[in-house]
Amino acid sequence: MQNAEIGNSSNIVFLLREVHKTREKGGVLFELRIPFMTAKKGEFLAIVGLSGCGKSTLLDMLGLVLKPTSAKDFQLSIGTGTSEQIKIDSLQENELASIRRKSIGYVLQTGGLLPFLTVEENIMLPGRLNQESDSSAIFDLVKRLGIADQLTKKPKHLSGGQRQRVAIARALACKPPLVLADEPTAAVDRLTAIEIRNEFKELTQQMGVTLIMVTHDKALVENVADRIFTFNVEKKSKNHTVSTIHELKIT
Amino acid sequence: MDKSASRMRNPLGIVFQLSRADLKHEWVLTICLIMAVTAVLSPLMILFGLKFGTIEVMRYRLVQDPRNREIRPLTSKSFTQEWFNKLESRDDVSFIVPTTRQISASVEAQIKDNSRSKDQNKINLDIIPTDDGDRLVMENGASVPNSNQCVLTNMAAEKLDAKIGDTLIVAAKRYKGTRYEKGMLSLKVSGILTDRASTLKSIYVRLHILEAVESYKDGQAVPEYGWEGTTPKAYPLYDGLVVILLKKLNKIDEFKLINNTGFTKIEPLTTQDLYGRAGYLLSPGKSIYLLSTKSKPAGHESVRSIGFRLRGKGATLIPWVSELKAELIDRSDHVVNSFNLLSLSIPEQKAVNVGMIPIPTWSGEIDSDEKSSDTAKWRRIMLPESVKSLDDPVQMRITRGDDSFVFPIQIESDSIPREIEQKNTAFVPARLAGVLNLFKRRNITFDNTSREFILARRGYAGFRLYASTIDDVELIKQYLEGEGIPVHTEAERIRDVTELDKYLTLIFWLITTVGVIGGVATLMASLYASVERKRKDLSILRLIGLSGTTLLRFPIYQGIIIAVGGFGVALVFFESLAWIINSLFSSHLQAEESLCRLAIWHLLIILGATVSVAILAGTVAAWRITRIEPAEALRDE
Repeated sequence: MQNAEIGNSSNIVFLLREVHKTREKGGVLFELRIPFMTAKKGEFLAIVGLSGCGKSTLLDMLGLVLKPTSAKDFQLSIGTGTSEQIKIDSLQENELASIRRKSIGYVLQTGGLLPFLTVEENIMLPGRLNQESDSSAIFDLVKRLGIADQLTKKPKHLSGGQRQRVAIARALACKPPLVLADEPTAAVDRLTAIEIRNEFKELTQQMGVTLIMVTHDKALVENVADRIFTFNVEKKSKNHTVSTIHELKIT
Repeated sequence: MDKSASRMRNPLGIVFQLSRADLKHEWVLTICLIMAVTAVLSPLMILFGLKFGTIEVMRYRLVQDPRNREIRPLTSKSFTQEWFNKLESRDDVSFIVPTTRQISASVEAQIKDNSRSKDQNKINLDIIPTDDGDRLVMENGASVPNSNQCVLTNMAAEKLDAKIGDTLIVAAKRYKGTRYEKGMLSLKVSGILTDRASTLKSIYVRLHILEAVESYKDGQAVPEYGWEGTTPKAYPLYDGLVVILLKKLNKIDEFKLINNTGFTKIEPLTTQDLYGRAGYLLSPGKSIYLLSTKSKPAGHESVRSIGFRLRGKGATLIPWVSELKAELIDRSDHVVNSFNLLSLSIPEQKAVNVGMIPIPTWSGEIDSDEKSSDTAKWRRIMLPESVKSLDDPVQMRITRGDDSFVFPIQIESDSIPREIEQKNTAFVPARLAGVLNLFKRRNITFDNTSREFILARRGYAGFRLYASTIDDVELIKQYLEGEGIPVHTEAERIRDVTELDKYLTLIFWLITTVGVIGGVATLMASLYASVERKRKDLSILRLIGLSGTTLLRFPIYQGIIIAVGGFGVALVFFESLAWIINSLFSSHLQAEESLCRLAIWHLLIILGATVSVAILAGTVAAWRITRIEPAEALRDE
């Protein structure tokens, strides 16, 4: 899969070509370079890197909450076919919010659940926002994740693993083409992390959802992820860091 | 899941339901916020309620209570009917009725009920006049009684044990010789006034009943009620006396005529002067004097005392009245003619002696006993020859300002010869001229039954006056004081309440301003802090696709919910405290009054203002939201 070119363009969910993001923080210039990156439908992409390498910046851009400084191509294909390709540059905040709502599911490090809603309300929230929900499908999902008896609880009464499962259920509730997961297993024990990883992968594969998982734990995704990307960090000078993303060969 | 999903599907409602869910989740904090709003609102509401309640009670008592619009004379005077007419026509006078002397305004009253022993519940009542439009009666639970009815004060009704519909026997008492006489009258109780009107034992009746009581107490008869007594007859008043003598008087005798006789001035006249001034034509060679008075006209006694002083001198006396005009009315009430009346009464022999023409047939009637005299003898007129005679019955009308009175008069068959006729001048007997002259000063009526000129009452000792509004009181007071009538009003109380209202309003607004600033600050700080505290949650909401503009409603909705909750709790506090305050002071309050109270529209205004403040505070907090990046959700600190 290395150097995966666009075999069938209708399968591409993400296509990034020569995307650059420059950030300045405390007088230090940080530059993230993405020469080329794609994500196909149903693929499990892992992005592995240590902190400070630009994982978050990449995730922000993929999550449509941060615009790149420059980009040759930044395309998001949602739904089916190329006709719905979206050029992120040209969109307003409200339109971006709308895309996020319809097409992207998010699983955050500690779940990102709303503490004031019950598990059920949390899971139903994307459906409500999109004004559509397939209750039986969601209930299936909930059963498969083993959280069916937690629905009336508030998130704070759940264990870390349960919370992440709820977050996964919420992210998948509207069957978005893309799910972004930011260190979804960082806060749980190893065993649970593996369980969650497996469930997550299984569900996304079955549903044909592209999963992009950011993690610092390379071991967790090795041999599981379809493709793994990582960063090559160079210190150009004292105040200038360049991080370039590249795909790892899977052995 | 179905139920919950469909319940929450309304897109507009999502933010509201999220805000509500958040408040419910953090219910302890929410209660704190609601209590903060309550803490600001309740004292304001109680303050406002007290201000509104007390001022309203006082205003109600002042504005609504006719007693505060009452203007009472401080001294007893004689007020004429014209004076009352003048006051009644003023726009700022709502009601005025004359009152009699206080001393004659009391009666003995008793319920007519055979089953009770006779002396039971016989009490003395102040008798107070009323008339159509009496505010005190009408605004205190009764209507103005008619001539056969009366209205009692509550105290009087209690003492009498009287109910509406009872018949009351009212007795006017007077002392005659060695015993009391009673003039009885029965009146139906048509209404009982509330305690607000008066706490005295009083009975309200039409003015004429009060006048009857006063007359009876003065010893007069009141035929209307069959009460016996004297009748005040009209007496003659003369402006002067023409004295005709054959010889001139010496100075001493001249002086005698004006020394303690009632006349104050003596002037000699020529025959020509006399004709010019009084219209009497005499043969020349007489000594003529005109006795007159400076201010007070002279009566019979004065004429008699002059006659006495001039006895033996062959004097002829003609009582004289100046400027008297009258109209003759025929049987169909048309005015036939009007005349200047000249008084002419002279015994026939004396007329011959002084060479006077003409001599009407009444000429002997100068000052015969006035009491027994039949008025028909001197209700006569001698017309100039040039005037056509009229068919009987003829009446004479005499007018003074708006008042007039009419009586039957007989036309002499003789008439004034053309040679001495003056323009529109007719002769009447001195007695008649004198009585008509009295009408210039006093009201007179002609009673057709007794065929007497009756002296009407002189005037009224006082009045009951109600201004149209409390604001008119001061003006009327000034007017009356300008007329030399010292009066008592409730002006000071009115001024006090108006000022108290002003100051309380000012203080209220000062406190309100501080309170509102505090309330705004509290809400704003709380909502702002809440937004700050929920950055993460709000950014998650933005990340999963709520746009920033939609999410603005989040703190606004929360503000509204907190404001409404705070208002609700404050309302409960307010109502409880108002109830306690009103109960504590209930003994000082009348039925519908409350010391601490807010009208529905006040509550709506307070609610509206609170919600507006909440929206304002929420908007400031919302502005903070627009600065929360969805990317923040992706950061884990």
